[in-house]
Amino acid sequence: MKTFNFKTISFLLPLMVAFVVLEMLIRYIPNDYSYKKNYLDTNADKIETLILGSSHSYYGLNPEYFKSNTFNASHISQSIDLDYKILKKYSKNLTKLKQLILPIDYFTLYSRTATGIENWRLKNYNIYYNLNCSNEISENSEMVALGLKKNISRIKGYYLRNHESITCTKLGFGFMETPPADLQLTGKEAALRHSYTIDNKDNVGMLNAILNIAEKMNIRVILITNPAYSTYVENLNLEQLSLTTKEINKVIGDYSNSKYFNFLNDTSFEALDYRDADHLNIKGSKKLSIMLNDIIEESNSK
Amino acid sequence: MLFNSIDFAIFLPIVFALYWLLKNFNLKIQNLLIVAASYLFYGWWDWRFLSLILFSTIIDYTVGVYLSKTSHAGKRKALLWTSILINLGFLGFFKYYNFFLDNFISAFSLFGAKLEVSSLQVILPVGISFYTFQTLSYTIDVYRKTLKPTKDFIAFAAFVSFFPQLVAGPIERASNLLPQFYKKREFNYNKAVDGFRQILWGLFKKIVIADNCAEYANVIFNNSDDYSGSTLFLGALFFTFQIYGDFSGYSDIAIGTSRLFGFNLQQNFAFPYFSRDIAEFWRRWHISLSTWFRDYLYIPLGGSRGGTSMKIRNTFIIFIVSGFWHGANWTFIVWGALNAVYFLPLLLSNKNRQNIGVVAQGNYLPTIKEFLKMSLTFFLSVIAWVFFRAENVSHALSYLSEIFSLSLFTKMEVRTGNTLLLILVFVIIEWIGRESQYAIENIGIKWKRPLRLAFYYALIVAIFWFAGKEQQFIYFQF
Repeated sequence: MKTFNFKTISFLLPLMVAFVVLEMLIRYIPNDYSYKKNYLDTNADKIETLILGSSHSYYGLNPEYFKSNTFNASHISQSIDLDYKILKKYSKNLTKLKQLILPIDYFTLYSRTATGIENWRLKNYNIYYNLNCSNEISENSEMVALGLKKNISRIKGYYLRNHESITCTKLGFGFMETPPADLQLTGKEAALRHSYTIDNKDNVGMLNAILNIAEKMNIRVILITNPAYSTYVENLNLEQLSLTTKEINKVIGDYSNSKYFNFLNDTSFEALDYRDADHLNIKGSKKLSIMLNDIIEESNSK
Repeated sequence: MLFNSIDFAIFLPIVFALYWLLKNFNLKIQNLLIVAASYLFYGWWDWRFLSLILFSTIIDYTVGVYLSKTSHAGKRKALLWTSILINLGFLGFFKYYNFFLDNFISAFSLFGAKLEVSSLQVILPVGISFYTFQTLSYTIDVYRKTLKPTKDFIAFAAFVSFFPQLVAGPIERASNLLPQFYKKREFNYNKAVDGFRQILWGLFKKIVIADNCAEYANVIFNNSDDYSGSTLFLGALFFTFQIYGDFSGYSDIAIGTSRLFGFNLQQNFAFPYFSRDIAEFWRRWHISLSTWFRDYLYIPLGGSRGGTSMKIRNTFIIFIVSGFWHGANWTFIVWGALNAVYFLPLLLSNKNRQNIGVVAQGNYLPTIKEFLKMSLTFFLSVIAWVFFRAENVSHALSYLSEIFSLSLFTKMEVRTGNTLLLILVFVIIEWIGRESQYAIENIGIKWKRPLRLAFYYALIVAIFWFAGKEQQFIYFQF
């Protein structure tokens, strides 16, 4: 038995050491999550407008075009429960916050990061934000979540080739210049991907929880539905869409600190404003950011 | 808890250490630890269904005790049927209720009658088909007086819930596993090392082969309308390796884990894709289920005795029931029936036992005749797996009709990356090790230690390197 234990441990030890070393190396690579967390840790008390949400906000709202001190704390596939956790964690530090921009898109009330195909991103909220989203070991380790092949490539990219791993700007905007995708194809695919048959009670609860915190903080909540190209809108499930609108109307009736702006069918956005059917490009994001800034400034002046 | 999870990687050494620390104490305490660990293992998925296992355990233990107390034939039969009805009742409710309901509604609608019965949202308890059959084997053996009923409830509970094989087999016979709980287990170094080696190979099969194949098989089967026959054939091929890697990988991990604890489980897969005919395939695929059906269904029905019509009837019954055991869908029934069709010519011509030993035993390569036979058997099983994987029978038929069209000879639309190469390496290793219990049982045993260790490290690195997207074990749903 002793021989077995000794041999097993000496066989496994190099693997464990390699695992820990690689895990440490990866965690030291700066990324959007660690950057935004550090930004919020040190600058939360200066932020006047906070943007939450998923890739629609990440690529669609550029804080540079806001007059108030704005930070974009959205991430790709960030669902409303994670928006809530981020807001809750920093609510005490956000002493100057005046408004929160919270997107309620077609899928917001029906999807969760944890249960979607992007669930591997959940580890970022545990590891970098310390949000305790899950006790699953696979969601608390870079090595387990992404596997050896991807992580070795990340380590080589950062430590040997000096590849930048933060993809957002200083104010959290997802600056990415990519050639436009096929709007017909991406519209159909994204609409299908965003259509659910699940119960939305939990996510509506999350929305209410965010509005409750905002009420206590005495801040405005600007609910928006992001613009999308017609090929996306035409393929949406009307029942899911109308239910979303119904829920939004209910909460803006319940919370006087909230206002809703629906850009989904906004005709001022044209094909050239999109990188794919449901994401704005840099040009489109400038347009939307300026429109939202005007809304904020106008209501400030009242 | 999944075998390929970090949770299990923590759970196993803790239970292993506690288990061997307790070896000098009362055997009952060691068995109790197995029960507790097994319930934790199962409850990790959904603790509510532990009550089903406990209930099944109590029923079959009690039936066993009463069977030992009575020799009255009628009472014995009543006790046996009590156990069968309760166990199969649970299985029927959780697994087949909605299937029968939907089919009744469809059947009535054919005659113009509209039944307004709503189906139930029933969650299928993981492994229910496996532990139900395991406990049934105990009761039937006790009834037949081929096994003495146990008076040790803890040992019996450990036999029913033994965590390595609880959720996906091998389906152990009480006569093999139960007595092992009565005896003090001694730690055996070679057995434990062998167990580790088998776990390693099982993980390789599951994570490298099955999970990688699954990614392609899922895409191709889920979008089969968009692909040509050549790609669909590739999809069927990927599924063929996925299901083998997945299920035999699980069995390897289960058997290897049991060996760490001093238990011997039966071999569940014996390199079925090297079979020379379908009869041999079924002696090598899911052996614990095939032999269960043979002993508790086929032989009681009369087996291959009697006339031709009896043989045909019994063959169809056993294959169709075996298919239905896998799931409440017509696809499994057709899969079973198709295998019966494959098998019958061999049975009727008395050629079903002509390939008993290992193919090309003692040789590096098979003869051309053996190779052709293996290829044909493999091809037939690939075609049958299409029914197993398809959403419904019409999906399977349209999938197969595209395969057997001219588009089979067009260029494939899917890029497979390294996966075909991985499969090739895997098949070579399996071929080399086909005379063993599992492929790497004897590979590298006589090599020098550094070389042997390098081989094991290479397997581990391959597991982490080629890890596909984590997939649920297919047989958990059965």
